[in-house]
Amino acid sequence: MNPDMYVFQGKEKKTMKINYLTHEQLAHEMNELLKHYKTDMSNADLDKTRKILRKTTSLNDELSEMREENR
Amino acid sequence: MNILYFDTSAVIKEFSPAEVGSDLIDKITTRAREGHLQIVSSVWAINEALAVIDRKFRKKEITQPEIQTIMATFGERIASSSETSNFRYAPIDHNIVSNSRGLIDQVHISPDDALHLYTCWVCNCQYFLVHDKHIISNLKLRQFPDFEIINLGNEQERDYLQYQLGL
Repeated sequence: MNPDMYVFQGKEKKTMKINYLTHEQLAHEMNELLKHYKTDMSNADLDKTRKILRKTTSLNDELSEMREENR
Repeated sequence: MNILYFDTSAVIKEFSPAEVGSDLIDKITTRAREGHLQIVSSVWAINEALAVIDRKFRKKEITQPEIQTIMATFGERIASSSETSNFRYAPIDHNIVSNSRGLIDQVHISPDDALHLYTCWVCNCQYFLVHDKHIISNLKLRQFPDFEIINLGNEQERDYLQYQLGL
């Protein structure tokens, strides 16, 4: 480890409790989000989604571009 | 059990099979659903992924009915996660935000990148899966404690991870 990596201190890792999001929280948040798009989870279709995204330019490039703009 | 951290660049690969490294992500998520691996990401990855989809819509690369299908699929996938499942989302806790600040000047990465990196470490992950040239160029110069950076854009590193995970 680099000597300047004070951020990674073992004591923080041992004492910090991570409260992962529950299924109820995530389901509620996603249901609320989908209302904005006038859709719901019954329309979920992974194959169809992959087919749609196959014809777009790379999601990865889009993410990199977005992050570059924010940096 | 191996615990892997998915940067947003890894999360979105599950939905886009044409991306470099999406085959490996498929294998990893399948193994996780079978209970052999643990995947962790930050809830911030959900927002970043959402923003990426929104940009595609604004650029008219996807239509209104298409974004409805994508969002329904995305939402359904995320909602299937939980605090006890093998794909977990960590919260943006104040301690994570405050402790990650040190990485901004130490590693010269953005606050977003620092949040992901610190979450990876504090959640006991052994691998940080990422496909982002900027963050990788900064991270690869350094040795991190407890976890390895895996560049999903690099075939050798993908092969290495596959071997390590026995995929």
